[in-house]
Parts: sequence; C-alpha cells; structure tokens
Amino acid sequence: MSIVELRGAEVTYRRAGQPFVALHPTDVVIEPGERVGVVGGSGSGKTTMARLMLGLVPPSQGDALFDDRSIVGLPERQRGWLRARASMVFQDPNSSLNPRMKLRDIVGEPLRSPVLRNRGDVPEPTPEVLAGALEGVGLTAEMLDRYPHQLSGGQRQRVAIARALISDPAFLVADEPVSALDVSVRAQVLNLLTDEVNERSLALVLVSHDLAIVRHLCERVLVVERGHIVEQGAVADVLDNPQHPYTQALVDATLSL
Amino acid sequence: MKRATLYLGLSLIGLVVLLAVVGIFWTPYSPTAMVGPRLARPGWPHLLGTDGFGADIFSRIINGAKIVLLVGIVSVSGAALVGVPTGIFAGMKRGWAGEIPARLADILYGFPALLLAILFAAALGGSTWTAMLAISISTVPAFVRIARAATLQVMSQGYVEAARLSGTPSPSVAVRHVLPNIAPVLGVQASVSFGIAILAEAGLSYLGLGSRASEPTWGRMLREAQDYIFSEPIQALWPGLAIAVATMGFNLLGDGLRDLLDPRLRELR
Repeated sequence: MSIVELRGAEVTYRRAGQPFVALHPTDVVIEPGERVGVVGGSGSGKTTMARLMLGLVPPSQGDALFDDRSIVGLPERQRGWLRARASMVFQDPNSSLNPRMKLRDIVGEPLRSPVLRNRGDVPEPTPEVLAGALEGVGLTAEMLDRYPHQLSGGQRQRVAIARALISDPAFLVADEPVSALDVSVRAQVLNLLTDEVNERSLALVLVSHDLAIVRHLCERVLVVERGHIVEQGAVADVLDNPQHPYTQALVDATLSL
Repeated sequence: MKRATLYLGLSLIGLVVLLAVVGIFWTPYSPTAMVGPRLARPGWPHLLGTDGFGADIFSRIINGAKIVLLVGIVSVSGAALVGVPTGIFAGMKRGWAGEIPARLADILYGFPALLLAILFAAALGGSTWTAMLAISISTVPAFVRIARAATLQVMSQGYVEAARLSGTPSPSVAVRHVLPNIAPVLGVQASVSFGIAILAEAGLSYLGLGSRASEPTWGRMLREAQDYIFSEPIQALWPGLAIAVATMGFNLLGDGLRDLLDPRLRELR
C-alpha cells in the first residue's frame, strides 16, 4: 500500500494568458517510510510536483492519491485524512511563520485544527507539549513567548520543523528546507531533519537543487527537467552513474563547486 | 524630524478631541442661544465674536468638534464593520464568490457620495444621522478594496499555506492570520477615511442636508457665515479653520502611520 501516488498527473498554469505545462503527465509512487529526493533546476516543476501531492495545486488531468484515496476535486473540508497526516516544511521561514504570532501559537496551531483533533491520538496544546516540541528541535521552552523576528534564521526553520512534526505526520514534504539559511547553520538544520525523519520513519519528499543534501537524506531520487521525470532510481545509482545528460550536467555542476 | 507628520497629525487631532471633550461638559455660552450683540468682532467676552444671531462662535466651534468626532467615529467604524469582513471574504474566496463582493464594491465606489446623501436626505429628512448613514455607506467600498488587496497579499504568504496544510478552517485563518497582518493597512485607511468623513459632513451640512439648526456643526456655521462673507469675512474663517485642522490632522496621521508601518522604510531606519 502506497502513501502517495500520482497517476498520469499533469499540472498546467496560465502564464500571460498562455497555458504552460509545469508538470507533464507523471507517475510516482511513494511507499510509507520511503525518502525520495526530487531534484532539478529552477522552474523544472519539482516544487509543483510536491505541491500536487499535498493538494495545494490541482492537476489539470490525471489523479493524485493519498493513502489510496484521490485528493483531487475535493473541497478543503473533505481533505481531513490528508491534512491530518501530511505536513510541509517551507523554503523560507520568514514567510512561513506569521510575524504577529508567538511561537506558542505557531507551533500549537496544528494541534488546534479540527481535523487533527478528530484523529484522536493528538495531544492537547498544553504548555508542556509545546515546550517539548521546541526542545525536540533544539530550542528552549522560554522561547515560547517570543516572536519569529526575535530568532535567527536557523532557529526559525527549527520552529517550522517543530510545527510540521508536532502533529506526528506520516508524510512530510520539505521544499528546499535549508537553501534560505546561512551556510553555517545548514548542516545543523539538515541533521535535525535527518534525525527526525529516521526516528519517526516518515515518508519524505525532499525538493532540492542540492544533490549533496539529497544524497545525505534520501534513498531514491527523481530527476525532473522541464516537467518530465528524466531519470529515477536509487540515490547511489543515479548520482554516481548518471545516464541522462541533464542528470550528468547536474552532477558535474556539483562536482565543479 | 523623522516622524514629524505623525506627531503633527496627532497634535491636531488632540486639539479637536480636547475641544470635543470640553464641549461635552461645558461651553462658555450656550451654542444655540442669543447671548450677545449680533456680529460682534473677536474680543472679550466673546473670544471669536458672535454670529448673525448673536450666538457665541467659540461655543459653537467647541460644540461642533463633538459632532464632528461623533460623525467620524460612527461613519468610519460602521463602514469598517461592513467593509473589512466583506473584503477579507472577497480576498480569501477564489472564483466567482470572491469576485461578486469585489465588483459590487467597485460599482458603489463609482457612485458619488453626495448624490447618495441627497437621496437619503430626500427620503429620510436631513439630519446628522442621515449624513452619517450616507457617509458610512459611501466609505464601505474603500474598506472592501483595501481589505481585499491586503488579504490577497497575506494569502500568498507561507504561513497561510502552512495553516491550510494543518487543516485550519478558513474562519480561523481569517482571524488568526489575515486580520492581524492587514490591521496596519486598515488603520491607515480608517484615519484617511475619518478626514474624508469630516469633510463630507461639513459639505452636507453646508448644503443643508446634514445637521439641523439645533445642532450647530462647522459645515452649518460655514453656510450661515456665507451671508456675511463680504461684510464680515472673519465669520467664515473660524469654522473653515476648524474643518481644515481636523481634516488635516487625520490625513497627516494616516500618512505618518503609513510611513511608520511601511516595512521598506522601516528597514532603512
């Protein structure tokens, strides 16, 4: 039984009045606990693919499934089963954390959501639970009353990770989770993410242009170019022995740095 | 000075508020009674002189401040109460359900406020409350537009997406994420609308569509001073000055707030 599945899913945007195919019909299957990297250049459609899996963009044809149920065409209030078990870490914590909310409310927000409360096994957003969530990502309980602007970039992304994981999801999408951070804190945040994913045996989709991060965190990799998956397979096979010219170019670009 | 506009605006408003608060409890003379000779020049005991009926102008100005603030508060908060939720709804809802309130607001925006007030005055009779209702209705579209535009901007932020991903229902998103983040823009709009409302009320009273003779507002005083514009032009100066001070105060406050809240300017400081 797969956790996420795309069946011939295609995404079309309107750009300047012209339809633009961001993702050509694509088939992807992700098993529970599987860690998949999606790599490609900017504008390749890798983020679109991830957003499609969470129902943030609708497919123009084909189907997207979560836990073997289609998420396509449903109003938000009928997507409870998806919202209760999937979450996301965004690229830029400056935008993904509400500047007018304290960490207490940011991290606790998923626990107040009705669809999660329906799940039954979700803890109440008590101060102990919230403090535990912050401590779990290497922050301290006294930060609960701070606002995002009082934290460093790395700390903010830790908060975003705490929020994504507090609901104990089964599937996590991380969209360039460290590319907006200082090089000096990237490794720490990445290690945190790795530990959490391992500990919780999360299914992970990691969207990144950085092959080193994918190699570090993922088992399987999809290489996306102009809306097509041009190569896929185990990380070691694909990145050490790339077959497609685009993959070779990506690998060469990394090596030359 | 960097916040000169803001402070100047606040002090002008403070002056009007002070007059209004004093006016609630005390005026030197009754603002509507004949208390002295007609058309007295400024001096003692009538600081700003008396008008064509022999009423004390200073007392009438103080009393007018009260009404001006009442009109501003009632019409702006009424407009915000209707316009802000509508604008947020229009900004959050995709498709035709969000378009309809936005387009309706645009239509209402194109309808002249004065015409609306004349319509109301004809139907309901001219009074301060009719004027407030008309001003309030014509201010609604401004709030719908600004709230919708600001909401659209907030909706594209990651934190709204994150809230959606955890299954937070739309009303909670509106209250927790949208409203606090658009509040500064709404504050600026409220301040500017307040100035416009004062001006509109003065205009309506001047045309005889606002307050009755028993309620001396600045606009009404201006209308009465018109009769003596060539013989005693100073009569028109006082209410005119009062209107200018109050309107400018709120406009400056709006500008000052905008400068203060503009994140790009804040970065530079």
